[in-house]
Amino acid sequence: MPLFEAVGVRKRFGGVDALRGVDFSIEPGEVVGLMGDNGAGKSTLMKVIAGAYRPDEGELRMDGEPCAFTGPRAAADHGIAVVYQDLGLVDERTVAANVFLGQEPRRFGVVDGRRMRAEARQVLDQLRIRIPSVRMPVAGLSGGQRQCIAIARAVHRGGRLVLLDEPTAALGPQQQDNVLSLIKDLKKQDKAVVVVSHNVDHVLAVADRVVVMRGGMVSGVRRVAETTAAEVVGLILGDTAAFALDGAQDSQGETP
Amino acid sequence: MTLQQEIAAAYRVDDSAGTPLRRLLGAREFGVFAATIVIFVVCAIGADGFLATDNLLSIAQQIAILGIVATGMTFLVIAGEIDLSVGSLHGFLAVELAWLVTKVGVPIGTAAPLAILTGAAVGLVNGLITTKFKIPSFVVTLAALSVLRGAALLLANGVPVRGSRDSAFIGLVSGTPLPHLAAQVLWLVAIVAIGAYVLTKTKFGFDVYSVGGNRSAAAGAGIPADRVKISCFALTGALTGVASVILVGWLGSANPLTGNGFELGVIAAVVVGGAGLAGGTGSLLGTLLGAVITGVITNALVLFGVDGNWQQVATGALILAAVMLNQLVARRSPHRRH
Repeated sequence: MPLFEAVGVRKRFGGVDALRGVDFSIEPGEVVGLMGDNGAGKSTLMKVIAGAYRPDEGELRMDGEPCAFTGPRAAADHGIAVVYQDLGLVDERTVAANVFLGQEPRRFGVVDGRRMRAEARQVLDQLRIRIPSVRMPVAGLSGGQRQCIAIARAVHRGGRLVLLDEPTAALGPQQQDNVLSLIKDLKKQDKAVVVVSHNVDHVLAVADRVVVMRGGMVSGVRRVAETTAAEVVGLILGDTAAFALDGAQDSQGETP
Repeated sequence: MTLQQEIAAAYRVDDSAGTPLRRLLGAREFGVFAATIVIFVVCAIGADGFLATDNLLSIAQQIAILGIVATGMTFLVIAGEIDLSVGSLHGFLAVELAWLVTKVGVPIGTAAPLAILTGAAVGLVNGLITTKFKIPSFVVTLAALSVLRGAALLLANGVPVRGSRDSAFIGLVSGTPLPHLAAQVLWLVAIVAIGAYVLTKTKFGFDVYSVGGNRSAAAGAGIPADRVKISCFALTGALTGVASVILVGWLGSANPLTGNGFELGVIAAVVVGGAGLAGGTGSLLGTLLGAVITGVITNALVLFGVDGNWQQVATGALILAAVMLNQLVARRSPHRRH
């Protein structure tokens, strides 16, 4: 059963159809690359999944149960975690404080710093993220490390479906590799990961499936094992005949 | 060392705070602490009568008033806002208290909490306008500075108002429970200690740092950012009220011009203490040391026989130097541990 499904999602902004009946689904332990040109609707779809937008039509299902997200908090309570491109880190605060931002553990009404550091280290180890000390302010870390900390926070919050917005943009090659291997680790822990990206190589390197959007619709779904970068780029640009597969059906039949 | 060993060393994991010496030298407040010692020694050697008991007591009393307001201001600056109206508010609340006691006949036990509540209410209004209308706090509180000064002059009819003669009250806020120890100083120490505890140990304190460091990230993580900021405004107002109560007990009267330019001294103490005006950094230990530095320098200028008008120049120069130094330190040490 898919972890999350969106069926027939439509969203209009004024006179613009941002989403025109989108079907999308993802299994636990699956990595899906969400691609498309600017204005294709992938950001809107992501915000609908994250609970930031309410769809005008269509249904969202978590574990097969229909659910309507009243806001980002409701989506988070259902296990959906989003890492936006700006990462949402507080530079001056320590790694541990950022992992626990807004949800610091308390003992007798006092923030339990010791437990925060120990648990933060545990999450970092679990995701094989290398940080010399959880007492370091995140301002002193590299872009890749910062991305990893933002992802660690999403996982620590109990995210079962992790949405990553351009996780490898603005990173050096080494750091991009670190982030990509972190995504593979998330997959091993049975997390569902949606990677929104413009970078075809990165998506093909980590994803199981690629969902390409164009003009507010899903223009193509491909298994990474059976496609090529050229074909995906063709789908994004609309040059290739697009066989819009039903995402939900697709994943029911042939999950890896 | 082989390359592998070097890489392993670079990735050595150590979540401890380090040795006590390293913690001391690495603490953000260490520079301020060193500066405090140096300035104190220079004044002790250079200024005649600096070390006299009476003089030290008087410095301590001055610092207490400044430090109590600066405690609130530290919360506010860390939360990314500023309050320029504390000087006028200090004067207005002093006049209000004296007026309530002398002209209305309210007992001091009721009037003092009322003045503190008024301060909190003014802070609340400043905070609400700042956050709900999205107007920079320096503009909102600059307006409040003018409004409150006018209100103080109106309420007092432009002349000083006699304060409470209640000896129990005077003893409580400004007596000398021990020889050479002013009650004001005890109030300051208690307020700074409680404030430091709240700021470093409680969820609210963590929220203050998070909201000031990155407001949208804090809001995204579910922290009620506006409420945190408004609370800091109200806290600053309430502590300004405490300072006014102490002042009226100490001086026995309230001058409507009290606190003219006081906000600069308060802000100087906060930024000298290492808080960045961009928000997200600062500490109450730093602010306490900053208040000591500001108080000592002001006093020394008097002892050196410097023209009183130069004191304003000195305060301004101190703020500028501290901000520049903070900027320099922030640029040099992003890797410092907390």
